[in-house]
Amino acid sequence: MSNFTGITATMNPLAEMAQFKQNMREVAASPEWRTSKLIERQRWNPYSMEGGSTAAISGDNFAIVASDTRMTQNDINILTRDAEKIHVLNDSIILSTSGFYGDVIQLRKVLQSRLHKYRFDYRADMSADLCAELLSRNLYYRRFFPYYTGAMLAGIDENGKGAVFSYDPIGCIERLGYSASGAAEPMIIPFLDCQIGHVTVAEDYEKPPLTIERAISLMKDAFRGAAEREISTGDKIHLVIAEAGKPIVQKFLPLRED
Amino acid sequence: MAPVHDELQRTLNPTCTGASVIAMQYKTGVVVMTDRVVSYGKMARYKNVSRQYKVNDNVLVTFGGDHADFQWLQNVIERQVLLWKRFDQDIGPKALHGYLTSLLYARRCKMNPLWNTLVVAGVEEEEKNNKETSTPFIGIITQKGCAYQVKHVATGLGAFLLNQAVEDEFRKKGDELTRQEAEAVLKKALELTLYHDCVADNDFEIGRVDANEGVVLGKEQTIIGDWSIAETNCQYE
Amino acid sequence: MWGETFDDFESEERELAVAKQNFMHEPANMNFTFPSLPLGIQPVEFMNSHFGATAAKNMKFRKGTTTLAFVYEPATPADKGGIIVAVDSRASSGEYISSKSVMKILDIGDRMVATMAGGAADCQYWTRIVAKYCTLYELREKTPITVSAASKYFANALFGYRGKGLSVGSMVAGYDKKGPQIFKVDSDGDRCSLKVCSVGSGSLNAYGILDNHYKPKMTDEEARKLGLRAIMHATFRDSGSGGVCNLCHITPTEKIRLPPMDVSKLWYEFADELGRDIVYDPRE
Repeated sequence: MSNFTGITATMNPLAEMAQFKQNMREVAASPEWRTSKLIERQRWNPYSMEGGSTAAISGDNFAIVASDTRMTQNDINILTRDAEKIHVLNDSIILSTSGFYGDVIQLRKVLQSRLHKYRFDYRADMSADLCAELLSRNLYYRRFFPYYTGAMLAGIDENGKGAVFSYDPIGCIERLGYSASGAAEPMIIPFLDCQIGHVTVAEDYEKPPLTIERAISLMKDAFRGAAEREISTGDKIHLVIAEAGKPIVQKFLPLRED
Repeated sequence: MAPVHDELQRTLNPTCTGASVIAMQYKTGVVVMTDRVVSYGKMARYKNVSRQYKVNDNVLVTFGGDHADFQWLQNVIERQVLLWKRFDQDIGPKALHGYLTSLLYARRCKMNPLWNTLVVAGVEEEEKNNKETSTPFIGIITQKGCAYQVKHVATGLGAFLLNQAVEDEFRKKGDELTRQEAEAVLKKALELTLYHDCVADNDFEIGRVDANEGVVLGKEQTIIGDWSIAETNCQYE
Repeated sequence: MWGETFDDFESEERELAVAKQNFMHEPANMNFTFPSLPLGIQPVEFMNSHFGATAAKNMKFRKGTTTLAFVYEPATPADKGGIIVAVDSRASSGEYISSKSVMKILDIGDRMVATMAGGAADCQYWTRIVAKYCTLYELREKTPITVSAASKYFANALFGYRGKGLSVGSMVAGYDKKGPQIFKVDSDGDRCSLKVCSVGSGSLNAYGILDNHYKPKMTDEEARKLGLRAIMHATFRDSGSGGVCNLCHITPTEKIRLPPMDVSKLWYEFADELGRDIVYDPRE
């Protein structure tokens, strides 16, 4: 004797429970109403990876963000050499993202429209701190269909200090002194750990203070190094410099194109 | 135990497809080249089909990928153009590019993509009717909603085959390229696809969007190419 | 768009407009639901295939932790007693350490804390939701919320998303009218009150130290040291944990956050105390 769950009355309770759980799993995995079309959709990969890397460093009164400008298809084929991965959102907020470029565009659009609305409502620009929390929540709202992006937000915070916020794809937020995301993250971070965090040098080793000039030259070195050893990073460095009380400066510097 | 769906083994593949699109900026506009065949797998199913769609005097949309999806897109674009017309506006290439990006991204998010790579070519009029300030525009959108702007592009198999070749030619002259030179580069590029892409066709058209002339759809042209190399290249006995 | 209603649109445009409505504005409080995958796609399966073991290194979600908390009573009148909460600071994406300085003790109001283990983003987001609930509760009821109630709200919120793939293992700790309380809450919707508790990949190592040296009555000094020690040993035996040790001491009157301690330094201290070389041979 069995009912619709396939449980027979003679089974002991433990086996019954195990059987029930098994049935539940199967039904959940492919319920009756799942049509062929739905299963096809599941197999299609909605993400692609356009490669590239970004990094950011913050100091006492400045924040600099850099990225390469290469966009690749499957990490191999170069689609364009002037893709924009850094987006200047207002006078003190810079968004830089790597990952799936469709999501990057959507994310930028969401933030821009929210910033616009904020300006409309409060007649002031949003500060970097607020925008950082906003971005974190907007990333999390897509928890069940995440943005495939490694985002970073940099800028000058409410106190005139440089700030860098780093995120994971679903919006785990952390404020750091320096950060990187994208394909060359595992290469750039150890370099910055050594040069800015000074975690790999001896205690009595001379530790130069982080000036804006030093930060810029470190950033250039980091990307030149990454371009040497990482396939989807190259072409150009897009350097964006935000200094408290000054307008944001953007620069493009050449990198390896191979 | 798990239910078997035999009919589901097919994938989300497009049926009737167009191949490469090659586009390039020149001094005052954009030239776009497509071949005139729609393939069914490797079969040249429909010949003499234009893959370029004139939106208005400033914009030309060209596609690679599923033909049915593109025909449906033509309707959507036309509706959008009419919407702008109601407010006495002509949609520009940037605006259309943005609109189509949102559309393709929204469809991706429903996991029901439009299987197209779109090339939106046109001339952006910064100020209405001021030809001096017009700038050439080429925007690409992939089926997943990934969009970018370029000065020259080759999609489909051309992305692997031609991008660098076109780029090298473009860099020689940069923005000073004339229309004739640009068209010559495109023809050379088509010859290359012809040799290596089995779904490319030697029947093609070159459309252009020029700041002064507006959209000019190309006439059907044919290229034969030089096949003499075949005798030495193939291992015929 | 131009003062039209959705009815004027064709279906495709209507969907675009709805998407704009959903994403471009701050969602209204009461009727917000997470945008999810189209019907018929299993969220857990989907996430595993794109953000699981095969995903790019830095695209995986940040996770991996040792967190612990325990309640103790003061041994002498000079001590304060209360709750010690100690955590490590590593967040790893797969085998890549994506951050070595995460603050895993999150504030809920000014009397409670929640620790964070499992998915980092999940913990941060839901702790924030709980904190908001607690603030609103205090404003509405004009009385501080109990730890029990706050953790219950937390557990209920998580239970609503059970089976969707959230990963949270949190301890809500704090003082309320019933005294010191620790509630462990996890993403299965489980919630239980404990005196000594540890969560995360290194929890077993931490339990080893805790259970060995825990006494119901301790001096503040002893208790803090026990917290640091347990975390230090866990980080040395669990590769998912590491970095610095953050410690928070909740006394009946205040919440004291101690400065972060590098676990390597703790290890040297520990070796010094035992009077042995840091590179020790267990056979000696």
